[in-house]
Amino acid sequence: MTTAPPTQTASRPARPPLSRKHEGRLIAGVAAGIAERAGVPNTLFRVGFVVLAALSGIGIVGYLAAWLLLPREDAVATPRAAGDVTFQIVAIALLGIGAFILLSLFGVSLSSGLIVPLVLLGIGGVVLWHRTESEQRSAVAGGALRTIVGGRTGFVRLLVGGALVLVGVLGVLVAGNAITATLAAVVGFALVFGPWIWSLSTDYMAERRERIRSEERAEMAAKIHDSVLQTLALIQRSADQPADTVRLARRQERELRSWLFSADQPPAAESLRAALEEMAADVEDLHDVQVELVVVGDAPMSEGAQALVSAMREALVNAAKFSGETHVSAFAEAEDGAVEAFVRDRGVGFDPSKIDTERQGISGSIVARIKRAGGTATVRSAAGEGTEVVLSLQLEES
Amino acid sequence: MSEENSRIAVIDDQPIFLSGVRAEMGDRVDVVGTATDVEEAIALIAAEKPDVVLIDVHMPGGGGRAVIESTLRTIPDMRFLALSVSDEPEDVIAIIRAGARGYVTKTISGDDLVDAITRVRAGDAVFSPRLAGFVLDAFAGGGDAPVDPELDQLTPREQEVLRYIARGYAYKEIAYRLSISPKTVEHHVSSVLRKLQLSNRYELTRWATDRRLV
Repeated sequence: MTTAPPTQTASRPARPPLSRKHEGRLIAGVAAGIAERAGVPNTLFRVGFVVLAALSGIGIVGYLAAWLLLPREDAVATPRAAGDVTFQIVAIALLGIGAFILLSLFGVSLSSGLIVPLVLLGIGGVVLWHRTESEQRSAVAGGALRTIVGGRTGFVRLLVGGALVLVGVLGVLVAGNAITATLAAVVGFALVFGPWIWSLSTDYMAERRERIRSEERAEMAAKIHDSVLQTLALIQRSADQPADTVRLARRQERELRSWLFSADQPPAAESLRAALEEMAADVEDLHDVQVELVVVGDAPMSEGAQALVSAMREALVNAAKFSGETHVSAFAEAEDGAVEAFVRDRGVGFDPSKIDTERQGISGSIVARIKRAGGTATVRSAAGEGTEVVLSLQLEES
Repeated sequence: MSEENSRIAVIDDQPIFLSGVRAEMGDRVDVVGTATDVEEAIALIAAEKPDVVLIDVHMPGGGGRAVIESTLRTIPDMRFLALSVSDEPEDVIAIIRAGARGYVTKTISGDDLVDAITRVRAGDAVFSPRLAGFVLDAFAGGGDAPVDPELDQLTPREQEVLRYIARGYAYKEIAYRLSISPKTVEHHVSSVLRKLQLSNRYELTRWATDRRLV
């Protein structure tokens, strides 16, 4: 239970690119590669290919096409050589043949008038979408859009591919009925403008990501400059005053921590917890004392809650001034509209029956303040045994 | 202090902290070795079998949590005391759930640290006031109905003990206040530690899963 092994969801690597697996392959690793990409057992794809092959032969055609089209696993990283374009064309032709077989299987017979335009459409698509190695490299360097419209080869390809697609679509329009004509128009449109739209959107996404990242970096740099670097400079100048150095370091630690971890915390004006944390930090800064504050639960700020924060502050300052200790514990628990708070030090303590006037004044102000808010406050102390102030207050009627 | 010094190993990727901790504890403990990464740490613990391992929560290569889980698989009774500069609840809860028997922040004084090491060595749990606060928060009423009432809820006495710890009381002082023996206080704290490690209470698992730790 406690030592449960990390499940796959914990750190699953990014999905591998579609490729032919070398490891665990039966024939060419097509099924294994697709299965790994899809994240399912590869038996599923193997059985699928075999069933399709037995039914109509399309399984065989599809497998051969994938064999030719998919790069080998270990070749994925390296860009494809320019000569591979013949492979691609053969593969697409095979896919086309497979599609015809599949269509005839379902009883759709294509009139011979449609075949030529469809083939033209296919070749036009390949010409438009294919990218050579050098273009891939420049796409990485300078945005995808330029590689499609820019450059002489790109322009020529656009013309040739577009013309082929146009002729194909027109051929279908002439030979087919209304449905095939509409389909052909849509496919043609997608073939011509698809690369454009696709590259525009990837350009836009990449730019957006980069902008967000640089904004974050700038914000971080500004924050570190304003806080950490300033504090380090101050520490260097007050190196001979240990108390100051410690105080500076503690304040910086607190600031950095609240910036790093509590971005979503409500402001001190709204939450008792935040108000207490701010108050404790303030007391630490002003009175050279370490306050170990623990807060359980939270409550919205109110007049009563403000009285509690002020009373706790008095108690902490009191401990800092008179206990002789440098460490004070503060604990507040807010639950069901009531709050209980404790401030405790392990210092010299005092006999409550024989306290000097100044101290009486301070504890009086704590007690009186809490009483006015409708709560109770008690001070427990004995010489040599430290002091504890206990505050209890109903924050809202329930 | 006990008649024999505790043999401890210190696992931290910050050399400054390593040398600082050695200097502060002086000759009250025997540091049998230090390690700065996960593999080194696992090998060191297996070779030296120290009484207590002081371990930093945030280390590269999987962190202190990985060291704890891997070691406990082969040496189930190894005792870990976690140290960190961060006291974010999810870090604290995650390291305790991995198997650490206590958690203190790095600003702890040398005396308190030696004391905590001795207690962990004796098989007790070390709860700092902050950790006690987190546990009270995590087991606070409301939320979903407990699936396992024995594990998902604290007894009133356990809550009482935790409140005293959060208020800054030492075990001995708590025992005095509640008129029970210090051993009984330790028993309550150990029982809370067990619940913290085994409970499936929503808040606890959420903290861990938020960081993809479970």
